[in-house]
Amino acid sequence: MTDNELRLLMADSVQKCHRAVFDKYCNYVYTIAFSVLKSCGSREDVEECVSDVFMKIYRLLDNNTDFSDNVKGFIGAVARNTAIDSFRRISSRSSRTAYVDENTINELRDDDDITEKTELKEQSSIILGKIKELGDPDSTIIIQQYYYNRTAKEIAKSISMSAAAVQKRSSRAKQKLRILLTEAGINKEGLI
Amino acid sequence: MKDNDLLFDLDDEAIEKLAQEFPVLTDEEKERIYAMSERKYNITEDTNTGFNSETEVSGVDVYKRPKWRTASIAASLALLIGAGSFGGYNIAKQFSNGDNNDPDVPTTVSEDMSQALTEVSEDPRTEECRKTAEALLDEYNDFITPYIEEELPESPDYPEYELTDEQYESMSEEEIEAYNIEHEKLCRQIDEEYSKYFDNIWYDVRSNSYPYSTSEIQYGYWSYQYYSSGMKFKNTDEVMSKALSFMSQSLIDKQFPDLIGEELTNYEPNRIYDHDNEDYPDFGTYAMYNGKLYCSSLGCDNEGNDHINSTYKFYKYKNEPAEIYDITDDSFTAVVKYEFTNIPNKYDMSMKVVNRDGKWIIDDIEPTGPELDRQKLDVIDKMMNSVDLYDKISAKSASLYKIPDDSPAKVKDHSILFNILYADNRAARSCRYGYYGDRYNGSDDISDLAEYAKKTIDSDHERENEDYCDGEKYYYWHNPTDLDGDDSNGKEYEWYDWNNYFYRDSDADKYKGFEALRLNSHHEINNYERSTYKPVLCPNGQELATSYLYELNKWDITGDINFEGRDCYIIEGVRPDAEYNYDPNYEGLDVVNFKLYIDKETGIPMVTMTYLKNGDINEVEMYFDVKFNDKAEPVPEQDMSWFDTSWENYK
Repeated sequence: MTDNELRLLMADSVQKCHRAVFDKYCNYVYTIAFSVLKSCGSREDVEECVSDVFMKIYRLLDNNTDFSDNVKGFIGAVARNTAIDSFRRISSRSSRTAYVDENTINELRDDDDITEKTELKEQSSIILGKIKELGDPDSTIIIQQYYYNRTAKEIAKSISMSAAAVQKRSSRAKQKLRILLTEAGINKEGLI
Repeated sequence: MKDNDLLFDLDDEAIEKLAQEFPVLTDEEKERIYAMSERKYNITEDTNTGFNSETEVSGVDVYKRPKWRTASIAASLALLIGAGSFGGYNIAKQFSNGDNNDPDVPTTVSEDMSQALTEVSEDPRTEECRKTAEALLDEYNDFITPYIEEELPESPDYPEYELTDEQYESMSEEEIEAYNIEHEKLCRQIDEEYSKYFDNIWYDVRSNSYPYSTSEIQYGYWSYQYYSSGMKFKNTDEVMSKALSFMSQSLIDKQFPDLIGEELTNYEPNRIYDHDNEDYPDFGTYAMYNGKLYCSSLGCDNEGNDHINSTYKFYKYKNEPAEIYDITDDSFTAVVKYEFTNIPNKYDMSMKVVNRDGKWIIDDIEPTGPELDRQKLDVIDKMMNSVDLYDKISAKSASLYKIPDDSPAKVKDHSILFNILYADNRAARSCRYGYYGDRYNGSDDISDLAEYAKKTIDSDHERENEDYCDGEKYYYWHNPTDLDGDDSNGKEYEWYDWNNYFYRDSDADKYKGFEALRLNSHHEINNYERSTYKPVLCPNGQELATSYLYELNKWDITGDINFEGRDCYIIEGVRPDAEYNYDPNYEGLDVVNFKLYIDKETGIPMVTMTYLKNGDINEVEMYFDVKFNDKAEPVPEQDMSWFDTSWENYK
């Protein structure tokens, strides 16, 4: 989506523009918010955060902000910043100490250990690749179950499959993924 | 929320990939969050919150531009699969010829199924033939699912990895390590037990033995499963015996070209094979390994059941009675209705059924549809191959977006993006830069637009985007973001190793063109092989051909025109995937119709006009001042020696 397209949509109808922007970027924003908040927030917190992001985007659209054809980047930046604000807020209100993952520590402290970070990211990239190798719908099931913590019933609904079929495929996909990851030299204790 | 520690540290690119490839939100969730965002917006709308866009997006995080500027082209580009990576039936030829006269195709069908069929509804044998056809179709559908799902062994339950935060913090590193080892041990014990009932082996063939190199080519990945119960067959003989009980050998060769693979026992599984220096198996859907049958199923239906691979896929069975044609004493043709097949322009499955030794079998299967227009196919071929001119064209271009006439906007005009392209007529050296010009508020007439664009474009205008390739590396820069994400170093470019991504002449023979298009279940062309997608800076028609023209009955050549000195076909049509991707939220805003001026000689889209559903023009993109070969404007010299292209900065 380009700045021009946004302008066109806004001119046509503010409501339509909001809807179009939301539909286009909601998964992107959700993924960003989830990646920051997954260790400390509930699913409701993530949804709150995503709605905050879009509220801000709508305000930016009202202000005729120039997205300079970097609409996605712009939205991504708003999403990440809003999610980090949410992270701080949730962590401070939480009585327990939130488990902070490497990524978030780096974001917050800005004291990156570049080598370690690169290795972790590389590993994540390999894991993502191996999950993709499972092929659909197994890869979707694994991601939804083990990254987004969705239940079999929820996954079943989203991919038009029965919950039993999801369970069945999930068990088999886990088995395959364990082997793929082991062969790739990755031992993720407790992962699957 | 429990952190599962899967993909724990994702960079921007991985997050983008995850969001795009594995969208998680359900419609219900989307609606809930959307309503929430609107509510918040409406609450804050009247109050000046002092929200400042500049402070909001600066600081913590900086946008990193996606890797490749023409990724959208890649996304829409066809899967240019060779028909079977390892010597499969060449479906492409059949498609391009519009009939089945490929001498390589083994078939015993005496007559061409694409010929006009003679309906014989009055023939008293029709109903019996229909029953026979439907029984054979049931056998076929049963055959393509390799497992009896309810008989497959249950997967084991692994012990949960559940250290609470408190436990985790109270344990020493040694204790955590011991817990991890114990947990892994338990998992492995379960694996060992389960391996009596299930086994998975895989083979990965690549051209470069370094497994994660960006320059390698993956030739294929095969994952085979064995289950102690629930598999329909015990060995490859049983597979073939079942197949031959209702299909002819020629149909098996055609529809399931890699049904039986080489015995895998002598090949080490679970490793990457070097395509250039090692022997690897001749892979097939079913193969024997250590005396057991393994199956490599490659798709599934909405019940989660696996499907084995096949040349033709048929989507959305219409559950209408099969139509019966050409009945003779020992043969007939049955047409089974589907919404579409994986071959564009084909909508039905035609089965040739013959009687062999007193038994009815399917002798041939073919997706059928209208006869294809040779002239249209030629136009598409030219458009697909226009990327071959990647280093031989210089041109100027203008893209104009138009505010709709019924919009409440005060200024109803076009915004214009100008681009200037250079080429050296030397391989892989090209440059493109551009800027947003002043808005245009004249008529929609294409000649007026072209005149305005030619008069207004200014090569010396301050650049707002730039793509530059020096033959080895590809640099790009787009205002205003510092793309490397580091404000301190003053770098404004990112770069790629050009040769890893760019089309080379040596790729030409891998390029299957329009003939190899494949549709998915959403009627989209959504796959591609990197070796055959050609991201280039020059004008080219590949994206248009694969996005708009793959259904030949949805567009027509409506005339000729000379545009900017080039003889062009005028093409008018409707987006082929519009009805499958209809979204009421975009009512009136979707591009539905298009008009193209396609250069007759080269296939370059000189003009692309897209229209909204209400008929209003949406966007016009045009090329002018187009020069070829030696006449092309040379690439301006650029000194990029200052830019750090060390491996750490490689994108």
